Amino acid sequence: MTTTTTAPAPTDQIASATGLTKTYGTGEAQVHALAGVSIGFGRGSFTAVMGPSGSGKSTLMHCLAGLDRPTSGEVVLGGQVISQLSDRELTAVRRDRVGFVFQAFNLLPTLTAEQNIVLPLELAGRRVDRTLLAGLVDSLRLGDRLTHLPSQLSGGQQQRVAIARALITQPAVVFADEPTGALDSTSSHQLLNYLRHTSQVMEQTIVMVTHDPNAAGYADRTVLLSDGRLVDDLVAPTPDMVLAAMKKLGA
Amino acid sequence: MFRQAWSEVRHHPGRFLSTIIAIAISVAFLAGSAVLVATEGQAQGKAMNVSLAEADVVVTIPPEGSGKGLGPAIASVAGVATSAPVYTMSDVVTSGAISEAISFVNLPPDGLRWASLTAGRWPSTANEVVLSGGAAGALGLKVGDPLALAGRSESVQVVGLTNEPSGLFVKTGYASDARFVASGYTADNAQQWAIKAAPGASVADLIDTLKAKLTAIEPTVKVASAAEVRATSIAHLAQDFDVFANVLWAFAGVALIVGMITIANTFTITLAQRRRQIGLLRAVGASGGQVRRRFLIEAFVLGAVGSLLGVAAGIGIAVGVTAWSTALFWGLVLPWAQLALALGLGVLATVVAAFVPILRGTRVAPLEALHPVPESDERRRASMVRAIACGLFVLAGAGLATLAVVRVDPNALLIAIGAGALLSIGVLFGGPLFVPALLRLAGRAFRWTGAVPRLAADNAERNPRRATATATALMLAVGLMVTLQVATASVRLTVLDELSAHYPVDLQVHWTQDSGEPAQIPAEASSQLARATGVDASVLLSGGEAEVGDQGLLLLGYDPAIRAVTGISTGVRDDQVLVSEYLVKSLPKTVTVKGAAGSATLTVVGSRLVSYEQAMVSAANLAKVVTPVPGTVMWLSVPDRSHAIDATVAVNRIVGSGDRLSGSIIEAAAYEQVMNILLAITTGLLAVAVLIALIGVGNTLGLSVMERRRESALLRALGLQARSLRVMLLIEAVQVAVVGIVVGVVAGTFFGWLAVTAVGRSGGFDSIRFAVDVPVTAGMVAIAVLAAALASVLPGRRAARAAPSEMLADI
Repeated sequence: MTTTTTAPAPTDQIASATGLTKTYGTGEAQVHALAGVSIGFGRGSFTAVMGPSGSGKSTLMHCLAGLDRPTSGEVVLGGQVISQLSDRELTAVRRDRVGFVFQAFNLLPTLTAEQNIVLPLELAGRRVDRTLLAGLVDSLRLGDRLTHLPSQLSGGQQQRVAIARALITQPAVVFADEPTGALDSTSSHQLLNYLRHTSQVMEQTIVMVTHDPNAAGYADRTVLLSDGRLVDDLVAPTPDMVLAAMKKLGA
Repeated sequence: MFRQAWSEVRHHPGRFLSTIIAIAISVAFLAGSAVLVATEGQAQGKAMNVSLAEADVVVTIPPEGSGKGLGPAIASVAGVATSAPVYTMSDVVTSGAISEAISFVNLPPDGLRWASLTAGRWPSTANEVVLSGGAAGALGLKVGDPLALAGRSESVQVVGLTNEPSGLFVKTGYASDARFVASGYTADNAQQWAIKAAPGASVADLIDTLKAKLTAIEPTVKVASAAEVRATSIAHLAQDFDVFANVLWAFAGVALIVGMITIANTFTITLAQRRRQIGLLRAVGASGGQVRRRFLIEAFVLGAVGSLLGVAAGIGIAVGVTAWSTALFWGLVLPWAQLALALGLGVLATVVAAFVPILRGTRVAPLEALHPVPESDERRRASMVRAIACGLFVLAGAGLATLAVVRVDPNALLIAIGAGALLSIGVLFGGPLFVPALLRLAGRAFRWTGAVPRLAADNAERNPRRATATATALMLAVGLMVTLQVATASVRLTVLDELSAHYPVDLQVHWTQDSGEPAQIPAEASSQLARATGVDASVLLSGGEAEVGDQGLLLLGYDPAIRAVTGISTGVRDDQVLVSEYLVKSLPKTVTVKGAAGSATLTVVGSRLVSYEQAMVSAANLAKVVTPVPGTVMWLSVPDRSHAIDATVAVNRIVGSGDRLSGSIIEAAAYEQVMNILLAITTGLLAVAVLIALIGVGNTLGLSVMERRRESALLRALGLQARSLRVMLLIEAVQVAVVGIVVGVVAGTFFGWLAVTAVGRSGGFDSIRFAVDVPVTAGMVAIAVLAAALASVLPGRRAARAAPSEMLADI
């Protein structure tokens, strides 16, 4: 198993973290979710972040995406240091420079699909680029679903709406937390293909947290975390390679 | 089971806080009213019988009996430590523009004294008096000040002040025995004797001994314990206080009903929120009945905690109020039976309110614990049954309302109240039929202004059942408040109109000698009166006593200047005599007017110019019938109502005694005062219910915020600023509150109009004025909306404070 460091050159990085730590609780119940993680992501890369439960992968994503502040360390996103911004500024960063896709509960139940997609723009008070919207809706095959409420959409359709929303602001990075966790294999395959297409053709940087080696197979880089530390970095691995690397962790 | 429920309440106090507060407020109202009424009642009884406050035994001699020789007989009985006769004398005392009725008692010997001096000394001569602190305060007098007694030319000096407060109706003062003797009071004609028993003596034995000894001298004598005598006089008062107490409990009942709506709502939301917990219990093997029982016990515990707090708070408030009204001086009364009842009602109300929500909320499948189901859209179609039932109520109510308004019926008010009740039930229970539509209408007004307002409107409209319950509580509370406001404002205006229409004389000054015969108003006074504040025209009338038919009246002579002062242009012909419209019915068509100088036979004409005790003839006839006293009555015109009080004070000061004044302004002022006090009290009482309803608004919002944790986290993750999230919740709260308040105001205005019109019909008023005090009502609405906005502050802070990642991690 080759462990090649594939960190892109610093000037190419759209997002990076240096020496990140995150600690919860005090005394006996203290948890070190992240124990010193440094990582960089190149423009247009599609990275899978993997690890067993409790490895800190979700925490890493939260810190990178501005959903939480690290206990120590620095996060740079799109050329801006975001790790110690105020809540107001961090919120603005999330609104304008980051896109999110979660495993479930992605959409607001009272808004239609179209309203959900343009929500970040509305919150920012920006005008909707109709061409961009049409392009996204087309490529995600949501044309006949725009006026439906989330309760009237299937799981796969909901995730596609979520992706459209993530991309409408043309963010620096799209963060996906287990995006295919609740989908069947066909929908998963379609969704992951779309993500790869977006990163390759539209140069959209995507960071995806997952526990599924098959999903990791769609990415062009996979990093492994264990106990809050980065322990492996693989280039375009196959699912088998990923599986083997994970088994090594368990041992 | 109890322990589980208790630990649940202890560990999640925030969840239950608003329920506890709602119950506590209602029960505090009930308990506070009970203590207040009991304490005030006792204070009243003791203040009215202040001379007996320290006595143990009271000897009463009825008017037909004679108290001769009783004094020494009482004093000679062993076991009597002190005894003294009780004299009371009332006088109206004036100081500046203020007059008060003071009840003067004689100063008892030491053992029977109930008050102590705070300044000066006790009175000794007939011209010295001592006032109670409360009386002196009301009159603005200090030691050494002179006092004017109405109807008497002597002046009296205040030589001391005592510590006792004034009662609500009666103020006390002390006069020396010399003064009483000078007025003819002696020990032999005293009607009451106060007796203090020697320490260690048995009161019961003393009563028996005295009875035996005294009935031998005067058989009609009654001997009783002081407590019994006080209780009897309090019982006479009790009727008035019973009405007062019932009114208070009626208002407390309203607060309780509003509280129950709030509690039912809270339980619905809490149970929806704890679906997972319930599912877990069922998955683990609890039966539906066991789960229900557990929650009913929780409701019971909540009710008990809230009610206990309420009783304590109620007692505290009552202590505060009675301390301020000085009734506390006479002792605090805690009516345990009523307090226990209040406690019981609080617990019962909580359990009853929680019952249906618990039944509905515990029908949860065990799978809930494993796969939480996302909140479904509750926009259900209106229930047919509800629509029909409420429609019937509204129709019945409308029918009764028409009846009350159209027919002249002495029971019109009762019919109107019945109509109001039916309509209210129809509207309140029909809430789910129209509140959602109103919410959408309200939402349309502002949802186009931005993303955040649109989100707020969506949220408020998507759970119509919950929003309806919240709005309903507000409708009830605000509706009642506005009804009373409108009714009072209308009655006030109608009465004032009636007064000025029926009694065109604004102010009348009437001068008499001590014997009661008409006298001329002193020149100094009349010129001052003509120039007094607010007076724009005046006329001096001559008059004399005469017999009109069989009625002894003051006969006045017509003066053309009356036209300017009263606005009435019809005069008196030489063959007419004007009498009050009330007297016209009891006099024949022609009547002989007889006076000291002669007589005349005249036709009787009813007129609003003269009062019940007066009649008016032409100037020529006046000279023929009596020896007229010039300028014995003066009529003043005060055109601007806002100067009414200033004019009254000025005139009062000029004439020196309120006895000499009358007129529509005086009556109107009295009405205004009573109306204003009534209005302030009822508004204050109902404000409590509105407060509970608004707590319900904040509560509904808070709990729904907890339910929407994930959505809030999602919004924050997507880039909604924390402050914008708080604004969103504020808009939601205000939207629901405004719907409830507006319906309440509209309904309240209608019910107020209905009540006033019905009263007019039953009382035979020719025209009823309908009035809405717009500034006050608008002010109330503004305050309620503001309070609703405030209610969103805490839930808003809670929602915005948590970091978005925390909530998302809970999948």
